[in-house]
Amino acid sequence: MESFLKEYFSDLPVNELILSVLFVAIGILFILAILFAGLTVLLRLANILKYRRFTRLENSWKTSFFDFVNGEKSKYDFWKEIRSFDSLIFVNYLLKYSRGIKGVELEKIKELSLPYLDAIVDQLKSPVSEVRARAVQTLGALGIQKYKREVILALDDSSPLVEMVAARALCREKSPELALPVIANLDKFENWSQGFLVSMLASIGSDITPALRESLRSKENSTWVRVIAVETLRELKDLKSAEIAFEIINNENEPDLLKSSLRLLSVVGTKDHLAAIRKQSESKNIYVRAQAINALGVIGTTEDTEVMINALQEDSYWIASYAAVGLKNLGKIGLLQQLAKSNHKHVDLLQNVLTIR
Amino acid sequence: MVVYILLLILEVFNYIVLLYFISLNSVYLITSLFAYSAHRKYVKRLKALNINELISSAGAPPITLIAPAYNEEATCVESIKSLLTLNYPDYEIIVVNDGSSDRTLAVLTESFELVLTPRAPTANLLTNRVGAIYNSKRYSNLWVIDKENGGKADALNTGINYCTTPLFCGMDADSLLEREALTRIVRPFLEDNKTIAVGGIIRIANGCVIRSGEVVKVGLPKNLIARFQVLEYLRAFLAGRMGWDALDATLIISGAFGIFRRSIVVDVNGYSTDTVGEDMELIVKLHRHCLDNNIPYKITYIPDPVAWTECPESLKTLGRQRDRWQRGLMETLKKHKIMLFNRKYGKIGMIAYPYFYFLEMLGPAIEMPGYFVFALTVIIGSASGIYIIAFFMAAFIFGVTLSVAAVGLEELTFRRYPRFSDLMKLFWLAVLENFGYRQFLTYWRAHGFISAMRKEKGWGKMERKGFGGIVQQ
Repeated sequence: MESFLKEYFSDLPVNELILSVLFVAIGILFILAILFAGLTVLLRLANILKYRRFTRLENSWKTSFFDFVNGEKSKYDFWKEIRSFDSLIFVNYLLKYSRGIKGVELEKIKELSLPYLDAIVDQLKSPVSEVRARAVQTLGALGIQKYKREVILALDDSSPLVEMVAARALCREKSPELALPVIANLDKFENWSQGFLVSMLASIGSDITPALRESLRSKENSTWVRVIAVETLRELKDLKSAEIAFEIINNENEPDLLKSSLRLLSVVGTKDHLAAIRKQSESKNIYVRAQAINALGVIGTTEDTEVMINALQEDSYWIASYAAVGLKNLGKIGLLQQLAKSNHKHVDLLQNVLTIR
Repeated sequence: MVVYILLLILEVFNYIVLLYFISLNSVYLITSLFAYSAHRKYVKRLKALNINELISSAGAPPITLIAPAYNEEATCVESIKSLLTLNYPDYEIIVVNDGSSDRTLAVLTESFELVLTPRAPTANLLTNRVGAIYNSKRYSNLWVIDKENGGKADALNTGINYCTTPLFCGMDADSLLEREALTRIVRPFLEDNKTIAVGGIIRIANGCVIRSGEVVKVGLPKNLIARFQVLEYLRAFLAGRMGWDALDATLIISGAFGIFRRSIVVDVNGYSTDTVGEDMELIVKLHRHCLDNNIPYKITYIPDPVAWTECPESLKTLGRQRDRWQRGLMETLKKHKIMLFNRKYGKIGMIAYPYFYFLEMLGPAIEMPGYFVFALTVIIGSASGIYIIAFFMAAFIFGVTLSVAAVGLEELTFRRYPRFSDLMKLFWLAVLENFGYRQFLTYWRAHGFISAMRKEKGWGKMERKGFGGIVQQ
């Protein structure tokens, strides 16, 4: 084609170098385009075949699976139906079912998967972090008791993804024994969302509160770790931790820790803690002050009315909001109504608190 | 002498076009390669995570969806009903009626039993006057704010002012979010507390079957213009945005679906109202703010949370949209020009910004005259026809290769178009779009370039048929 074009345009000047480069580029790109298109079609065909194979296998296992769960088929008979090269697909099949069920049925599925999990353990050595994460997830869901050592070791993996999957697998069991390594390694998860971690730990229940209290009490731990501990204790409404929080707001000055300790006291604090909380309501840190007002609004007395009224004058929506709710909790409805009709700077907020809260 | 100088100018311009072509396509190729690697990794990562379990154990952070509505009488009820059925444990919807001149507010009031309810602002971003605030008697998490018209950015800022959650989602009132979209898009916020903004993928709803505000069957649209846009969006999101994200240099999160940390958006004074590209401007502003103040941050794009949108089916509306996009891009890039080749801004200043500035922003000013100059050089005989033909062939085949690669990425990852015939149609579109469609887009981008130089404002009217009208079955 090039020679044809050259001949056709032979009387015109041609920059040979650019032309050569362009033709080479056209050739390479043409091959690439055909290659990409071909690979995409092959990928589609492979996906269709894979889907059909999986569907066929799953359909063939379905009856046996339900017979096994209903006690009509032994696990030994079922295992005979699984060909060795289908074992990883079988584990994935069981993993899918394990997500939707609990109790005895779940235990049966775990039992069924056990002979195949050793192959999954091998995947923990994979250089690809996603493969290791998937392996930890599978072991955590189907064989945590047998493979707890492997899952706990995964907390030290170089990949944050694997660490996260391992921590979740350990916490999912709601067993203090398995959760303790997670609590001991909290400092590894400083990138995580605080709410995520707190919610995960709180889901285990009150059996982990002694360890959390220890984490909170120890000044050797980072502020972040102590904040996670105190927030989880708040979620669990742990009464015994009130005294630790009280000590913190009396003797320490790290704002994040003070803020969370005040949040804890708003849930488990008593009148004995009020003096220290009132002192914090004068803090220069806006977040600490807001949480102190919040705590006073929940456990305070009529003595705190003046503090609340002053807090209502603050520019911060959050402080004013806590103060308004606090006044409502203290039964100062008349005062709030009066302020809501005035030209108070937070008149919308006051009306808001009076109507919908 | 004059003729010689003119010929020289033409030749120099031809080299500029060639350089532009090589640079642009090289960047496309590089981002596509990065996108390929990132997608493979991402799909494996998704397999290692059970998204629903992640959220159920995550103390899912509350999110406010802010949906600005301007004259959305025909589509707003359907869209909001769809938002009310999202699979996410804790979210609120704030619809901001931006001074609609039709019956948008009346329709909303009737459909959702809205009642006047006081609600205090949590921030004070400057916005046009708010008239009234309503809460739905039927859905306690649905709020409607009625305000004076001020444009999309102003409406979003109003929503931010009344947002009480740590995260908010900026979106279009006529976007359809997939049921799990919030669950998926919030994940980066759980995994990395430095995350301040996350964008999801926008897909074309034209041609899909939609029931009760949910896309139940994905298909290609019958309209050819819409079909071209399907391919274009696949290229832009699966190859472009994913590639830039892999380079850790995300500069755009679509205004149709993105989630942000409220506090930092308030710190940068919210969306800018002096540009029609407020979505891109916010991201650039967030980068600049964080890098100026040494705030550790992460802005990312992930390809699995999906928002479906209706794309223009007429050339006129499409042209207006592209004109606006080009103006938005130029306004943003000119406003933050200090970031260009500024080492202080790292990859953003040294890679992403120069790419958008020289290749995306100035592109139409090179590409459009390029067609005419090429023709002229052939006519006057200063360049050979063979050179011109070879150049256009290279451009054509490069475009086809990149589009086919984007279709390949779709097949590698999410496979939303299940019919084999759709795959073949997408390949065919990759060829066909080079004959007219791309040139048409170049024209409108050049038009937008001139409009921006003239400092023209305004969004231009968008004609939408609505999900109820064209695709619902």
